Amino acid sequence: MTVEVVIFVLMGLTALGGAITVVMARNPVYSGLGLLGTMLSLAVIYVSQLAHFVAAIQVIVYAGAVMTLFLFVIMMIGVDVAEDTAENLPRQRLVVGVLAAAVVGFAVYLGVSQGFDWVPAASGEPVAEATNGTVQAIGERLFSTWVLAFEATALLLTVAAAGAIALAYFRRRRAVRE
Amino acid sequence: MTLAQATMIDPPVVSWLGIAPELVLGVGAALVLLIEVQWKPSRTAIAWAGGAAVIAAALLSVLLHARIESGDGISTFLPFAGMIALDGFGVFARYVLLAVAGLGLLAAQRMVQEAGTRAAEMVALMLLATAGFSLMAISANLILTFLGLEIGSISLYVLAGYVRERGNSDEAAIKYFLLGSFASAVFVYGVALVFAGTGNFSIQGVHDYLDGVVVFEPGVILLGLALLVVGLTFKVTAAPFHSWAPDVYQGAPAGVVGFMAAIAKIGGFAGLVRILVSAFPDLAGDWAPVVAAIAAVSMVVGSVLAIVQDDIRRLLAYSGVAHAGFILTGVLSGGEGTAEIWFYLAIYAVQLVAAFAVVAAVSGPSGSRSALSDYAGLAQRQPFLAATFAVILLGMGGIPLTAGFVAKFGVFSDAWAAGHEWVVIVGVLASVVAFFLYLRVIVTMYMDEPAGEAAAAPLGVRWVTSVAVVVTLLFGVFPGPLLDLAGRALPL
Amino acid sequence: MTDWYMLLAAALFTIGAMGILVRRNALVMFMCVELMLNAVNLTLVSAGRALGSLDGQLATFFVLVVAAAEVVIGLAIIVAIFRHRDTASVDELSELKG
Repeated sequence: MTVEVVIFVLMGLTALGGAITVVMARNPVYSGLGLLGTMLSLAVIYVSQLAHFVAAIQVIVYAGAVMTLFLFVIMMIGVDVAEDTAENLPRQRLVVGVLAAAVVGFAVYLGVSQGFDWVPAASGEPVAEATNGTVQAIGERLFSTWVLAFEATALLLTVAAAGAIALAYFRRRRAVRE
Repeated sequence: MTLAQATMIDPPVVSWLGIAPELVLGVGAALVLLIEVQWKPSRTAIAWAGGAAVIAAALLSVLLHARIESGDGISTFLPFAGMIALDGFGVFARYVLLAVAGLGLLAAQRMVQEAGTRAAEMVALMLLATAGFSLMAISANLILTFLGLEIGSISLYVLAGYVRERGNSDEAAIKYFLLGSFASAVFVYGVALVFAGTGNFSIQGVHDYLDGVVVFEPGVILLGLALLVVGLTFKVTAAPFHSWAPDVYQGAPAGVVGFMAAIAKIGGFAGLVRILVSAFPDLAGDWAPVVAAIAAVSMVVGSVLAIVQDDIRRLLAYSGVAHAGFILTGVLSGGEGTAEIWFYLAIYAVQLVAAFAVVAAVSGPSGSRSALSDYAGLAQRQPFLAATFAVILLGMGGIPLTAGFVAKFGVFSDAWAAGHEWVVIVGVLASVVAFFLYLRVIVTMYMDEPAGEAAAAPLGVRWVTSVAVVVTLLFGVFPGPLLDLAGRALPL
Repeated sequence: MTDWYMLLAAALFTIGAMGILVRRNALVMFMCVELMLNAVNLTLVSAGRALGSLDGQLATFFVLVVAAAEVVIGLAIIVAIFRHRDTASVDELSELKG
C-alpha cells in the first residue's frame, strides 16, 4: 500500500504538472510535451493499479502514436507560432474565472465535508485478483461481453480513414494540377 | 496456458437481424469506397449505391419490426450480452434515421456531383453517420452509446469541412470539431462517473441498481447524470449549449447541412430519451427541473434570436434551438411522452432536411450566399420551390392542420399532464414568437420584389420538398397512423 | 485511496476543460480534449478497481479508440486549415461570427 501511495503522489504530481503545462505553455511544443508527461505518468499509475494491458496500450497508442502525430503536425505548421496568451476575450476570462471558483469551491466542500462518496457501489477493499488486467482476462471479456462494441470500432476506424482521405486527398490533386 | 483454456470464451447470444440495418449501412459504405477504387463508376451510380444501401437497411428494419412485434425467432430482446435492445424504440429510431438519410442523399445529389473524386467518401460518410447514430439509438450500454455518438459525430465533422474552395467550410469544421469533441468528452466522463456510482454501463443495470438500492450519497451519480445531459443537449443544440450551431450551419456545405442537423438531433434525442427514461426514471425528481429549465431557455433563446437573423441558415439554426426546447418538454413526462417525442422528431427532421435543400437550391450547392434578401420574390422566380418552402415553414411554425401543430400539441399536453405547466406556457408564448419568424420568410418570398435570377432547383431537391410537404399536410390532417406507430416506439 | 485517484482524474478533467475555454490555438485546445479523455480513462480504471470489475478497463479501450480516431480527423482538419490560411488560431477564423 505504501508503495502505491508513493507512486501515486509522485506520478499524480507529474500528471498535474503536465496538465498545467498543456494549458499554460505559450509554445505548442511545450504543451505537447506536457501532455506526453501526463500520459506517461498515468501509464505508471495504471501499472500500480494492476491494469497492465491498459498501461501498455497507453504508452503505445497515446504516447507513441497520438503524441507523435501531434508533434508531427506542430512541426509541420511551424514551432515558432507562439501564441500570446494575454490576448483573449474578457468575457471568456470571466466565465472561466467563475467556473474555476465554482470548481475550487466544490473541491473545498469535498475536502471539508468528507461526505462525497466517489464509488458508492463498491463494497469494502478492492479485490486485486478480480481486476488483474492481463491480456488474457481482457481478451476473454472483449470477445464475449463486449464483442459488439469491439465490432463497432470497425465503423469508427472506417470513418477515420475515409474522413482523412476526404480531407487530405483534394489538396494533393490540385497540387498536381498546378 | 494451453490452447484449450485459451479458447474457452463464452460467446454471447448473437442476433444478426438485430444489427442488420447497421451492418448493411456499414457494408454499403465499404462497398461504395471499394467500387469507386476498382471501377471508377459515375457519381450518379455512387449516389444510387448509397441509396440502395439505405433502402435495404429500411427493408431489414421492417422485417425486424415484424419479428419484434410477434416475438418470432427472437430468443432474447437484449442480444450481444445486453449491448443492444431489440425494441420498438430502436425500430422507430431507425425508420426516422433512414428516412433522413434517404432524403439527405437526394438533397445532396448536386453536391455529390461536384465533390469530384471525393464523391464516394462523401456518400460513405453519410451512410456511416447514419449507422453510428442508429447504433446509438438501439444501444443498451452507455459505452456503445458513446461509440455510436462518436461514429456519427466524426463523420459529420468531416462532412462539415467538405467544400474546400470556400473559406468558412473549414472554419465550420474546426468549430464543430473542437466543441463537438469537447461535448463528447463531457459525455463520456458522465458515463465513467455513472459507472463509478452504480457499477454498471448497461442501461438496464443502472436502472436495476437505482431501483434496488437506496443510495445515501448519490452525489457522483447525479454529477455523472448532469454531464451526460450536458453532453447530449450540446449535440441536439439546446440552449445554453447551442452557440456552435449557427456558425456550423452557416459555414458547412449547403448540400449536407440539413442531413447533418437532422441526423445529429435524432441520434442525440434517442440517446437522451433512452438514458433519462430507461436508466434514470428513479432520479426523475432530480433531472426533471434541470431539463425543464434547459427546455424553457432553449425555446425563448431560439425563438427570440432567430427573429433578428438576416441569414436564412442562422435563422434555421436558431429555430432549431427552439425546436430542441419544444422536444425537451416532451421528455419531462418521462416514459409517457416517448410517442409524442418521436412524432415531433420524425416530422421536424423531414422538414429540416427539406428546408436546407431549398436553401441549397437557392444559393447553389456550395455557395455561401444564404442572406434572407436572396429570397425576395422567390415566388415569382421559383413558384414550386417557394410554395413548398412556405408549407414547410408553416409546418415548422406549427399552425393547425399541419403535422407541426399535432407534434407541438402532443409534447405540450404531455408536459402539462406531468405537472410542468409553466414550461408549457413559456412554450406556447415562444411558439407564437417563432411563428412570426417563419411568417417573415414567407412574406419576403411572396411580397417583396424579385432580386436577381435563381438557378433552377435540381430534381432531387424538388422530390425532397414534395415529400416534406406531403408529410407535413398528411400527418397534420390524419396524424393517427404515425402517432400509432410512434406509440409503439417504447424503450425496453 | 480510490477517492484520491478519482480526485486526480477530476482535477485533470477540469484543467482540460479550462484549457479549452482559455486557449485559442486549435492544436492546444485539441490537446486539452485529449487530456479530458485521459482523465476519463483514469476514472474508469480506478472505479473499476474499487468495484472489483474488469469492465472499467474494457471501457478504457473504447475511449482510447475514439481518441485515436478523433486525433486523425482533428489533425487532418487543422492541417487543411493551416495550408489554407497559415494560422491555427481559432480567433482568426472569424468570418462566421455573428
